[in-house]
Amino acid sequence: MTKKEKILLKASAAFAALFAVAPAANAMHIMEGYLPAGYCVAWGLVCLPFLIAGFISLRNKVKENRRSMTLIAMSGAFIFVISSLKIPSATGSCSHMTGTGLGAILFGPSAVGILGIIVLIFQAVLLAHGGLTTLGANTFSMAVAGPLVSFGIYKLCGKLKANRRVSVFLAAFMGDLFTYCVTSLQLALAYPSESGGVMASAVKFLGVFAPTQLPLAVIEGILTVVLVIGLESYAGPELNNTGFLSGREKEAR
Amino acid sequence: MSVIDRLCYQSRLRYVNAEEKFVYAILTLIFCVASRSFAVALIAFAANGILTVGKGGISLSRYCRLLLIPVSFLVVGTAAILVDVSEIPMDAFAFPVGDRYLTGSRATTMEALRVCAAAFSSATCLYFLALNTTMTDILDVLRKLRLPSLFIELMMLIYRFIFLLFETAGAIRISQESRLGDRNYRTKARSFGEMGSALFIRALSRSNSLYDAMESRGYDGKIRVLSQQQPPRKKKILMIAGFELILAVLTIREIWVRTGGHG
Amino acid sequence: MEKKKKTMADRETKDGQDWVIEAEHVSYAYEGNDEKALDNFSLKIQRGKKVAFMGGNGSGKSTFFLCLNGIRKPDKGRIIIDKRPVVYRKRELLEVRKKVGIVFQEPDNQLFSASVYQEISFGILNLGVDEDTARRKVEQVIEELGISPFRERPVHALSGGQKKQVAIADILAMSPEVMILDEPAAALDSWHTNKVRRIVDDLAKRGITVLVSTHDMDYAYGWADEIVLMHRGQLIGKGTPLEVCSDAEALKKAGLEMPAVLKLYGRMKQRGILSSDTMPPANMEELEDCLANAYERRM
Repeated sequence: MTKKEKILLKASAAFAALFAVAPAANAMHIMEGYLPAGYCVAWGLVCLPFLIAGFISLRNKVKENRRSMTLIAMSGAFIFVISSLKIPSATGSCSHMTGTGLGAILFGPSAVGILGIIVLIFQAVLLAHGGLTTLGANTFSMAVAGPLVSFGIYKLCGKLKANRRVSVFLAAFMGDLFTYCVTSLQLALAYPSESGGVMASAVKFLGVFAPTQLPLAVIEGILTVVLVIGLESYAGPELNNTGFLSGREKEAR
Repeated sequence: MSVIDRLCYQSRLRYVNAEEKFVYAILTLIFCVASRSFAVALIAFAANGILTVGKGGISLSRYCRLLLIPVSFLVVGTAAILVDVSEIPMDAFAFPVGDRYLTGSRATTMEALRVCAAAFSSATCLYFLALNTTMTDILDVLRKLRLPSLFIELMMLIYRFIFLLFETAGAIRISQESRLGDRNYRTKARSFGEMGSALFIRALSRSNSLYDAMESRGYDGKIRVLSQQQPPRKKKILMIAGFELILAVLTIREIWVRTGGHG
Repeated sequence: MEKKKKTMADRETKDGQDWVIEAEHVSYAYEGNDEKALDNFSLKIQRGKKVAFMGGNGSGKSTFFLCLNGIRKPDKGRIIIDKRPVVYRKRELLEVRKKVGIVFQEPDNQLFSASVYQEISFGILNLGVDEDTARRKVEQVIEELGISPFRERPVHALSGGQKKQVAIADILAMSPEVMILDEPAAALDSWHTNKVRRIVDDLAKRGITVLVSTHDMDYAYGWADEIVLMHRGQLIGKGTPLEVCSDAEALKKAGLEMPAVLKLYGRMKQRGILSSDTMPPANMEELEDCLANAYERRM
């Protein structure tokens, strides 16, 4: 074996070892205490306008019809439960959906902001996924940025009259990918590479989480399609009556 | 479903005033993150371990297993911080790969270790709060902190509803499995979708019924409930204040040193 | 206050009864349904009575109960609680809900809090009482219903029977004058069923008017002062247990069978074992006495 081959062997062995550890990592919650204090606060501030908008929108919904209080709560619980259920992944290990793409499609991005941060708090406290100091960063990536992209793509596909399954798949898939990219960027901003700065660091983080996040995004896309189509076929009228659906379903009815 | 939820109801520290626990956990957490100091991390790690396992009564093996949950993220993330690809080899380690190096500097390695220490000790703070305080009590504290009441009420309802949905989801899964709903990946996916829709439909109807029940008891838009809290104890408050003061001093010192002052 | 008492006394002497619940030609259909859940339903219930509502699923019992506390507003007709017609405005509805409490069939459709203590305190705080009074009442109810052993456990960790006790407690804490229990023994094991029955008897002893919906004919026959039979939203039978159970046609329509005690009594009379002038027994014990007497007379 040449020296070069030996090196490549070592590198790929190291990478494979990493790969073996990585599948245990689920959706990309930044763990507790991982971000420097300044960034924790900064990401919290960045989320704030979105959360305030979401809060006001929910409060108005409840003022209009008090009955929607339990409905909104059920939706939040639903997102949590869906994201806690172990789903079989292609590699055989266990994964979890984030559920935020589904939430954005069903309930709209403003509701998902508030429901998302609540779900993240529960995930941190009840399941030790994520953290309280990293709540701002995680909320931004998973409950604001991702859902906005999901919702945007969903609406865009709707306007382009694309196939329904394809729209939902793309919405959930791209939302997940965007969350993954945003999280990598958040980490890179906090820990820029010495030799390449933030961008090089971002590439590193993207690379290291890719083995889990890319397949996860695909699975989430598929499962979101299955869920949305299932909900519409079996629960169409009920969903419509709640007035909680984002615009498209209402148009379609 | 949630081991942590089950454990917090059995903790021996459960009935300690929730505000005391909350303030302690959050302050310690803040100091761990703000200081990035090994000393603070070690003190916090030790304190939380003693409190949770020793005083709280959580079994050591369980506690260790719980601490492993964030480890995979820690390993992967730290690897990404540690290892750089560059043309110039750096001073901590360097593996040549082609015409570049997989390398890392001493400064980055130190920083990576600090991050690990801060993250790990922060996780123990979160665990202290989660394993020794019920969610209901945490919500009581949040209410006292004057978070918007709609937010708190949503959290209260969601907390209860989560368990309702889990029960229903479990029942649906069992009935699906007995009908061989998971033969191959395709049927598994479809079963998941059917379960999800069935779950949501039942959730909708239940949410209506729950609202009727709340209305029947005079719900007028504000959820008013009594809280059961032991009053805070002076001795404990002093101990917490003293402990946090130590951490504060260490944190200030650390920041002073890091920003180039002469410590 | 004096004036109110006088009017009540007047009403009493007028038709001699103290009606706590009156339904006048109530009709109600759920949104999107052609079929009526309640169809020209009229009923009067006296204060302090124990009334069993019986009828097949979909007969309208639950809908009627929800009309009694103003959750559902009749499309036609009206509901009168404690001599006052129900007015569907916030303050008046609160008054009605103070007087009439419903324990839902499934506790999981009623319990919204993860904390037993907080759940029970919800209703009474909504009535505007101060915190100390509320605390005392909550403690009292917890003690009365035997909830103390599990009061610190989260609601999601409770058994069905325990959840049922909490569900009853959170209504009882509001000190209602009328307690409605929708199939209280559904899905309960026999220990908890007996416990719930004892609780229900205790409520009745305190003068609370108790309405129970049940499928258990034997229980209704032995326990109730009055049985109400419903079918497809209509009233098909009302009276003392004996009256209702002697109406074979109404029973059949409601999909019910005669209570075992009466059945046996009828057959014993047919076979001449019991003489034709024996009074129908109200329960198992009385039937046992009748048969024992008949046997002794033979001897």
